[in-house]
Amino acid sequence: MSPDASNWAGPESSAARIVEAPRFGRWLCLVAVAVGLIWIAYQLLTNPGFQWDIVGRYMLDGTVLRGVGMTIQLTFLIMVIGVVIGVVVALMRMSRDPFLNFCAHGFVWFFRGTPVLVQLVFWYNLAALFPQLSLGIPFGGPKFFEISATVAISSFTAALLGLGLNEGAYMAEIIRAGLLSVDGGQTEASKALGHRPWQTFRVIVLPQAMKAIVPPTGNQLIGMLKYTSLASVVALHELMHSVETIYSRTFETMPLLIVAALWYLIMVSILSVAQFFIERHYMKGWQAEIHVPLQA
Amino acid sequence: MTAPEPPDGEGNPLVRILNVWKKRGPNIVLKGVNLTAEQGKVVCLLGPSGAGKSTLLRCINAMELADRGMIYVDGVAIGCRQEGDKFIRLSEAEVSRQRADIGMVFQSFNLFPHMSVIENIIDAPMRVRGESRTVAIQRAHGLLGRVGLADKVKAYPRHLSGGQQQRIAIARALAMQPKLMLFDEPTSALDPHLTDEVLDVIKNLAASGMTMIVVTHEVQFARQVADVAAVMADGVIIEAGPARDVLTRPQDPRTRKFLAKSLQDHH
Repeated sequence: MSPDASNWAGPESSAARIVEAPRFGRWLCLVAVAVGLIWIAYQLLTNPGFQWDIVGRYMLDGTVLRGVGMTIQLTFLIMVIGVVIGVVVALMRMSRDPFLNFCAHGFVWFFRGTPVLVQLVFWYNLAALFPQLSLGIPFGGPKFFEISATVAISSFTAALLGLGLNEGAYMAEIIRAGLLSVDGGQTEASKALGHRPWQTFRVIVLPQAMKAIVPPTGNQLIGMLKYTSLASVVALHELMHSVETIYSRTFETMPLLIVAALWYLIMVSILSVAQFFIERHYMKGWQAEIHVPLQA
Repeated sequence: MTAPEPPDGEGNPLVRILNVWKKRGPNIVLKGVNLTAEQGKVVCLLGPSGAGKSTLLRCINAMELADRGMIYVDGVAIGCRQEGDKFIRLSEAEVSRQRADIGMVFQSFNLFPHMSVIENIIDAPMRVRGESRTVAIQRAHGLLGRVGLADKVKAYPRHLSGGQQQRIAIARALAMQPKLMLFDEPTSALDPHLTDEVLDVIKNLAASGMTMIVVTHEVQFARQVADVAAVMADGVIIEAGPARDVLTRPQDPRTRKFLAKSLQDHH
């Protein structure tokens, strides 16, 4: 039990006593927030427009669950594409080679500078520009491989390209900021020990950069999970499109939007927990409580 | 790797710096530096700041590349290979193999903060030399004993004092069993009361016969440990020779001025 200041009876009782100032503002806020929450709870329970029975019926509906699966799959693949592109572009931007630097700059400029919705629809309609996609020597040379654009670009590939390239541009900046946050002396010490450039990057610089990379990447991941709903415009059956197809048939718009919102909330909550553990992992060496110094 | 024969009259020094020039932006920081370090000897590089001491040191393990001139360590041309009468720059990966044989200790320690003390020491021997964990750990324990920090095996750098961190950094460099140790102002970032523990470790290392090149401001330390003292100013070595002569009976007036000033600063 912690010693209570009022129970002190020793010689310290003669020392000046310090009391907390009353906090009326806090109590006022508490009341305001409580009233607001009660009103929301009242509405949720009594407003018939929410149609909770319908929400319950559709939470585990097959179409909705397939939408959830597609959303997860899409988010995962987009983040993989985004991180791979991000690492490559970040390293290009940080290299001393002016050509690589220029290419990386151009990539980030274009894909960060155009709306992701435009990119998505652009890729979906690629067939209008290039009816045939082929691999070969350009300007009339031989073709090794050819495919119709309408076949190659499905809703899924359009979503992967549109969202993935955009994500790559943002991740490049996040990763670059992370790499810049690592002290240059670390690279020097690593090089002096004979590490190859790749070892210096992977073993010394990247693990330290992760401390600065993980929090904004968690933000991006959670953002991307919800941005996948944009893929509904190219008729991809992710979560948002799934509930749309249902409510356009049954007109139960409100309850189905709640179904979608609840599923997004559940997925985001799981990701937030995962982020907490990943952040803690990369705090190794910085956190006092992980390490108890060995004393002789 | 074949050792090209640089023109040199005396013996076979471990380090041979031949007419090295280095530009940084518009400034010429090294203006034709010549210096040798004999096997098992300690060379101290002294001189006012901005003289090019650290740059010269960093050229020896190709942390910086000399624009002109050659540096040989144990007969190997650093940072390039010879084809006929041409010298061709090595890639970063090829240079890394040369660096593995040269230990370096930095002013700011540069321990890896995400690794414990033992991981800091065993990582390069395992990853670069391909040693087994058991062998690497065994040597690491020996080295930690040598620098007086056997009880800090599992500590993280953050929880160690500057002097302790620098001693770990020395152990980390020694774990690669280098032919040569480079020290870049190893005590400049330390509180005065912590410098002695680091200097003692370096003195013991000198006594054990390690070849070392030390950039330092500690004239007192140089007197105790150096076999050869070289004094630099404005990108050239103005005076070099047996430490006893250079540090007690300097010939160059700039050396005299520098020595007088550094003694003043200390007392």
